[in-house]
Amino acid sequence: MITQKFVNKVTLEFGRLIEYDHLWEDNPAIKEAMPHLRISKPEIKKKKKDDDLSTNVVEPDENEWKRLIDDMKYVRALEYVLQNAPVRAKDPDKKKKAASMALSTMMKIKTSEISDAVNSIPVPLRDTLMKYVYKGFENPKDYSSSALLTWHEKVLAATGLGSIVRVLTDRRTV
Amino acid sequence: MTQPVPPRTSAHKPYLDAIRATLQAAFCIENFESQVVERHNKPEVEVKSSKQLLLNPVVISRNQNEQILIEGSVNSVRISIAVKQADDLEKILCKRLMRFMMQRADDFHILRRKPIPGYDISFLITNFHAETMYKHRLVDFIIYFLEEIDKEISEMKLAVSSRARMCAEEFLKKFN
Repeated sequence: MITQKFVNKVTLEFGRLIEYDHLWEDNPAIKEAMPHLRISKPEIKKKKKDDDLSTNVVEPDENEWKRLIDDMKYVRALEYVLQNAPVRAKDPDKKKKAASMALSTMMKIKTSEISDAVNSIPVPLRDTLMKYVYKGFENPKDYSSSALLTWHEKVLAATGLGSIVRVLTDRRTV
Repeated sequence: MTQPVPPRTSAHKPYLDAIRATLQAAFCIENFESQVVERHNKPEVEVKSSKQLLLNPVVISRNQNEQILIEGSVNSVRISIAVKQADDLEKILCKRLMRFMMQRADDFHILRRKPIPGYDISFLITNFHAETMYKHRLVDFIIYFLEEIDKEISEMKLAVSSRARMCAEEFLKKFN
């Protein structure tokens, strides 16, 4: 026995189905039935611009970075790369390039100067710095692990365990 | 608290400190039942049923040969260790020793029966282990294990070469 309540419920469910599953809209039977069903044409919610990652991707410019390196302003160069780290990018090449920039800068900074460097880097960027330290560990051939361990120690002293937790949990990987 | 773990200062202190800090951060595990099968409780780091339940895996390396991989999740942590193996004899000894331990993984509780490919031994620590054992002691144990493994393998290597020398001496005495 099909009651009105049942019809309403089914219509509601069906409307929801059409709203979320865009393939239904092309179905000719659906198109024909739409004016008869008591549901208004669903509005296609446009993807919010925030999700569009292409607009949010920043990248450290290689020339700018080279300029800073040639001027021997290593800390400033590192800060520049961290500021423009491609954390939101999906392209692995971009990430690799930025990682190589960041890590080679870190390798150039002398061991005795590391703690000063860490302290001069602004607090929000220290998480990204920690992310790059762990990235460097994945490539012990190219980047000296002992230097990275020193970096790890100094960044940990400056930021605490929170930065490691953020490295583990943050989806915006470096 | 029984038997305190003896603190050791070695040349590898920064490496062990980094591992300790990372483990302390990754050890935030709690009970989480399977969302796929009812009444089941599986370690998410093994099952990987949903990306939301996993943490980013992290590597810490001392040099090219020694590495440790830490993969976390909501209810479990998997720690894989690549032990230093300098020459063929050490490779064989390491393999034997790890196999010995892994075959007795049931009694070990936190050990995994098979290592992750690329590593020599793996630990799987779930929230149930964390409930019955102190988390900071588990971290201490992992660090202690790392220190001891190198020592054990070098001790065994020495033992092998001294035994071989004694055997050779005895044998060649006959020809004297």
